[in-house]
Amino acid sequence: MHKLVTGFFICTLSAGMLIGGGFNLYEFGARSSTLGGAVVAQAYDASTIFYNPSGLAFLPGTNFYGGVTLITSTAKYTGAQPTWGGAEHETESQWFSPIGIYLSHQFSGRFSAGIGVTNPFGLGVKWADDFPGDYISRKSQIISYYFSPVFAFKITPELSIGGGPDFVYSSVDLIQGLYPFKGPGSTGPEVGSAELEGGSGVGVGFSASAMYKTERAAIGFLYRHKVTNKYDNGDATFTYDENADPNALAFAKQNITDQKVNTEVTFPNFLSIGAHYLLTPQFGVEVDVMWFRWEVVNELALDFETLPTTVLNLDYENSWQVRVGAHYEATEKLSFRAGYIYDQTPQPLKSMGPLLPDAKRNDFTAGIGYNFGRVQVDAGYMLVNFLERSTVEDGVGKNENNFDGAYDTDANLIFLSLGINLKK
Amino acid sequence: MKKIITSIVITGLLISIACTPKYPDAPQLNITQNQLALSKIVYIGNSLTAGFQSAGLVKDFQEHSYPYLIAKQLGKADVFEQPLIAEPGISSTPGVGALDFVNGQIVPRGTYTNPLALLLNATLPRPYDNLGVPGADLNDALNTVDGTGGNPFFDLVLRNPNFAGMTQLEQVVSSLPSLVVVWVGNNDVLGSALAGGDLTQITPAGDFQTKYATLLTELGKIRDGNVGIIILNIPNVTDIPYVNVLDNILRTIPLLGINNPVPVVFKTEANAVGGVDFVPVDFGGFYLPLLTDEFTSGVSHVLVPTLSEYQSNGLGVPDSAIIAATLITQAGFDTATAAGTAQQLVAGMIQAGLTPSGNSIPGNLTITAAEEAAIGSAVSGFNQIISGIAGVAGIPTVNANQLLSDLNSNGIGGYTGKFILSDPVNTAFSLDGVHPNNGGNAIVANAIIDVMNSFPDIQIPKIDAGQYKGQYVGKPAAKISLEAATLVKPLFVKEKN
Repeated sequence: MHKLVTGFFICTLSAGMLIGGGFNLYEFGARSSTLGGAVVAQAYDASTIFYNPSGLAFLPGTNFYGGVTLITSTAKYTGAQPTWGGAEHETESQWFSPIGIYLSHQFSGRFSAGIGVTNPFGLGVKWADDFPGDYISRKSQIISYYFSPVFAFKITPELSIGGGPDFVYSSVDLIQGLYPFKGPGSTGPEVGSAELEGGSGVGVGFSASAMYKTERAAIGFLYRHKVTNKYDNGDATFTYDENADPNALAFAKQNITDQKVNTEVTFPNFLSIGAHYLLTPQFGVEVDVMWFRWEVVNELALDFETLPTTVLNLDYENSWQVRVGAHYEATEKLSFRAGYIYDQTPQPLKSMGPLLPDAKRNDFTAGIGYNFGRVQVDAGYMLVNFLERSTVEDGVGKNENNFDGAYDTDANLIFLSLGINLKK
Repeated sequence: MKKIITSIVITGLLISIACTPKYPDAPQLNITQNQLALSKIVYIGNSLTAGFQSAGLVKDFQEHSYPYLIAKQLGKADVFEQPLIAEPGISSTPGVGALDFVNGQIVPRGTYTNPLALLLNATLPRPYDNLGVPGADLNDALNTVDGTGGNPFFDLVLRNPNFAGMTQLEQVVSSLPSLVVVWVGNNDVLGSALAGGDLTQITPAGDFQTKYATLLTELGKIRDGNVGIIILNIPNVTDIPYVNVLDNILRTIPLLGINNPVPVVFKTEANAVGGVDFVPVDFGGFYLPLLTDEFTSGVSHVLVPTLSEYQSNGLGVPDSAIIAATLITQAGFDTATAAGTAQQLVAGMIQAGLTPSGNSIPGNLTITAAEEAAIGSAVSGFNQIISGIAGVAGIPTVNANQLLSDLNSNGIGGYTGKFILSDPVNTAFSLDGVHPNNGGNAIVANAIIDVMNSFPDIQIPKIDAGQYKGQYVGKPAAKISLEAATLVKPLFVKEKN
């Protein structure tokens, strides 16, 4: 066990993958995740720092909770006829491991505080080098780190409020095929690749939440504010393929040189509201509704030092999620959990593409927990089933870069978390 | 517990491997392969393709180039890129802009100092979609990369050295078009006609054959051969107003023993609809021949630049000494009668507003019957080569030669092939008498659209060419100014050695 736990934290710093609608991640604790994330009205472990900070008021003692989610996903693309000839391509296999690590302490009966580190937004999509859509994206990876000190205050024995600032850092790594003569109607020849890498400055947001909890029922509310991360002086580096069209290659070498690039990414506001009810002392259910203000994510503008500014239009739309979770405490030590999520994509067809082939999803989760006394171990699994989605509607291609086709994506998540009650 | 967790991890991994998506069925777009070929059209050619009009290249002309008009019909005008030139436009004469029609006169628009400063979209980071270079011939399309040979348009269109020394052909190939429209070869024979029949300016047929085949072979390799090509052949270059504007002044003069038509002294008079008739002057039963250096070879055409010098300085108009000598030697007049008759004729000409200068029209402003035949033979030879290559490769061809012939014989949609001074309302030619005007470009565009529409799944709406009539509406046409003629002349007329 000890070795496995060590293993979690070695791989924690390579987080990120598209799981929630858009590029939202919401899996930062094995118990919460196996309940479909429907935990805004529960405060079972210190992951409530992320899901509902006010819940800390109901969590006695000093607690550590930490874990990792192992994610792998595959997207398969079939090109539209006749433009892309029905060609089939799939993303390369990658593993990601977003983390949720928390420490909480109840200072008095009324006041609690904690700190959490999570990766609520991120994406990672990588296609093979010969992928024809790489004029839009060959690899896209965004990883966000939210450092969230939070406070909770119990107003009455049943009602608490909580929240705190989010200090957000993120990194971006984008690779595109290099098509110097790309224009309407033709990509022109590919002569190599362009990679844009950078780490952001620290952006600041906040969360605010409340929980009302009785013996059998509870309701919860969370609001997390948007955060904009600015990337100043990122690195744009260009790699050339010496076998490419010699004239276009010569042009590229003559005119396109490594340089600095600036951009910014906004992680949207979101709202969660839900209710938890214990049908029996052992069996509880929760239903949450979430709303994401994705409209703040409208473009990815790459402002180069000398090259013309490139704008990837995203034009996301606000979206909803419904989360349902149920838990059954079979014994005092052993718990079984299951959940379901309906996740509406914020992505319009015009920006659905290789950068992020998003779609509506149905997610199914299952997991168990075992309590050793002061130590709690939780584990589980989630299947994220994207609905097949095509950019072609009634014979008309909607992708604004003319990369039309259909995508089918699945993701698999494995949750492992460890909780330690350091002081009762 | 370790076992439970281990088994969960292993189970999860197994499920992860098992739960992979399947490839979706390929969605079908409502577009055919032929329609797909219209997604990226690039044009290679010369001034006719560039949208050169009225002796110059300038934005308002370029936005009526036949490639641009086709892009408009396809709804893609906003993404169709041309090397747009700001006012006053650029002609082949350094510092002088395009021609304009002001108060019935053809005059230059203005002057400029640096041609490159007039290029409006110089920073477009890809080749232009319209790669027509005014003045380019077939060899240029394959080999010329810049204006060091004296033609500044190569610098403006190809933008070297910034484009790695790419030729017109290389820029087309590297654009990876879905369709290439090719109209080259005109300048392999046009220069000869415009220079008054300088046959040395005609590209040898063997050379033309080799280079045309090379051009099409290279274009055919684009997208691994999955590229459409449309060719326009070469119109007969002596069927243009620049050459035939004064054909009406050819007359036989039996009295002087001239039994083949020759250009004769004429008057310029405005007719009822605002055009100018070039009417031979009848001197009581006979005409006076114009003085031409190529008189003995049989002059068939007198070129446009002659007009202004004729009107202003009496170029070609015989003086009394020459008339008298002609009457003596050709009509058997005695010296005294000849002198008296000559004086009367000169007085009549002066009264008619002419200037009997006694200066002969140089050979570079006239085309002889033999020169015309040689030029016509070259055009038909080139067109045979083009149709031969196109036929083997199955490339659809627009018969531009027939189009010009139709324009001259019956007109097209009410347009004529006459010079602006003769028919300012209906002419399809611009002020230089060589290049089509807005309406003329619409006629060419429609001919290409006809070829595109010959594929059953393509239905591009035709252009209402009539909407471009009235380009020269203004005061009645009067003359081409000496200034304008001076501008036109060096554009086309090379001094004959």
